[in-house]
Amino acid sequence: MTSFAIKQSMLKFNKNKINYREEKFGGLIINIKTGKIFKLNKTGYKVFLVLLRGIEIKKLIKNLSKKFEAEKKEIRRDVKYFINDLIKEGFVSKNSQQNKKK
Amino acid sequence: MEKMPNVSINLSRLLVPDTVYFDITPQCNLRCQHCYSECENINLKEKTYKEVRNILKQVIKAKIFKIDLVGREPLMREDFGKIIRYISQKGCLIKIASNGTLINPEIAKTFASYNINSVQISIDSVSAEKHNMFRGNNNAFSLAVRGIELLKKHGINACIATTLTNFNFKELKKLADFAYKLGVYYYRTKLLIGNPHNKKFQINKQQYKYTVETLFNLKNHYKNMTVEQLHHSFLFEKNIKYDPARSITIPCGAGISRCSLTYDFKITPCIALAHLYSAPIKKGLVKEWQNNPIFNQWLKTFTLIKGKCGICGYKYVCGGGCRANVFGVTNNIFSSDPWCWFNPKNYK
Repeated sequence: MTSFAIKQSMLKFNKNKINYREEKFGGLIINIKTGKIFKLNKTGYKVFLVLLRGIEIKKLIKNLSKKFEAEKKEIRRDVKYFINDLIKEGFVSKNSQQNKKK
Repeated sequence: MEKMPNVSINLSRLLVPDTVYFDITPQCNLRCQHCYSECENINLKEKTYKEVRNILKQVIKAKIFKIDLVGREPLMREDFGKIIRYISQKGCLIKIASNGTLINPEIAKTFASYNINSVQISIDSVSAEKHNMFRGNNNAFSLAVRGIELLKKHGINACIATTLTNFNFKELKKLADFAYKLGVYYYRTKLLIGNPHNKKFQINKQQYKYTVETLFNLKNHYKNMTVEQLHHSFLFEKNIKYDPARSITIPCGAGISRCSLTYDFKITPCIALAHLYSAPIKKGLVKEWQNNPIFNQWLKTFTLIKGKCGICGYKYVCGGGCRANVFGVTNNIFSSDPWCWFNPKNYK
C-alpha cells in the first residue's frame, strides 16, 4: 500500500469520474469510468462527503477523534487507509508535485 | 426429525437501484431461435425519443448509476446516437448489449465519443455455421466479429456473451480462446431462459455441471480477460461455509439493486420474468421501485422456495439459483433449482 503523509493539497477528486448518493446504510459511490460501485457505511460516506467538499484533513481527524473518542493516531491511520482506497480505485488522484514520501 | 430452519431473505434492498436494464426497442434484425418474442405477442411499435428521454430523465434524477441499453437489438433505433449522447452528457455509465451485426465504422466512432463503458456482443459458437443457424442469419457471425474488431479499433471495451445451449457447452474453452484472441476484456455465458419454443436447445443437469466446471477452470486462465462464473461455481471452492441458518440472498441483484424496464415501459425485477412480475410505470420510476407490490411479491418468492434449495445452507450464496432459469425449466417459480447437483445435509 502506498504510504504518504496526508495533506488536503495533495488530493484531487476526479469529479468527472464520480457519482454518489445516500442509502439507508450510508452511501454508494461509483467510478463511472470503471463501473465499480462501492458501498460505504454511514461514517465512511460522511468522511467521503467532507473530503469531497475539501475539509482540512487535520480538522477531519480532530472531529472524528472527538466523535468516536479515539486516539488521533488511530483515526489518522483509518483515514489514510480510506484515502489510499479512494486513490487505488481512481476516485482521487495524488498531486504528484506535492507528493513526497515522508 | 430435525426442525426445518427459518428461511428469511437478506434485505439490503437499495432505496434506488444502482443499475437499470432498459429494453429500448422491440425491433430486431435477426431471428434468433431461442428468442422470447417468438412466444409473445410483441407490439413492434417503438416508444418515441421523447418518451424514452422522459424515462431517462427519471433514471438520471434518481442517481441510478448504470444504464444497460438492451432490447431485442438496441441499434435498431434510428435515434440510438441521440439516446447515448443524452445519457452520456448526464454522467451515467452506459453499457450496451447487442448482436453486433449493425456496428459499422460510423457507429463505433460514435460510441468512442461518448461515455460507453462496454458493449456486449453475442457469439454462440466458434463455428460460423452454428452461430448463424442459431441467430437465423447467414452473415450474423462475420458481422458480429467485424463489430467486435471495430469496437477494439476505436478503443471501446468489448465483451462476448454466449447463450448456453446443448450445441455449444462443450466448446466454451474454444469460445473463450476466441474471445481472448479478439482482445475482449470479458467473456461470459448467459443461461438460455427456457420457453416452449427453445426447448430443443436446452442443456441438462449434467451438461450444466460440466459448463460450470469448465468456466471455473478458466477463471484465472487469461491475462486481461475475465471469465464470468456461473451461479454454482462456488461448489468447487473449498472455503465457502455451509450454514443453514443464514438468510437467502439474491446474487444477481434483481429487485435488490437492479431492475429492468421493458420496451413498453413496465418495471420488473428481472426482464426474463416480466410475464410474472411487472407493472406499468405510472407514478414514476423511483416510486414504483419503492412501493409497487410486485417487488414484495418477488422477494417473497425466495422465502417460499420448496425442496432442497429451501433448506440448503448455501442458499445465502446462490439464492436457490437463477429463478428465471428455474421457471423456464420447471414452470414453477418456487421449485428448487433442477440443475444444482449439490445435496444439502439432512435432505432426503
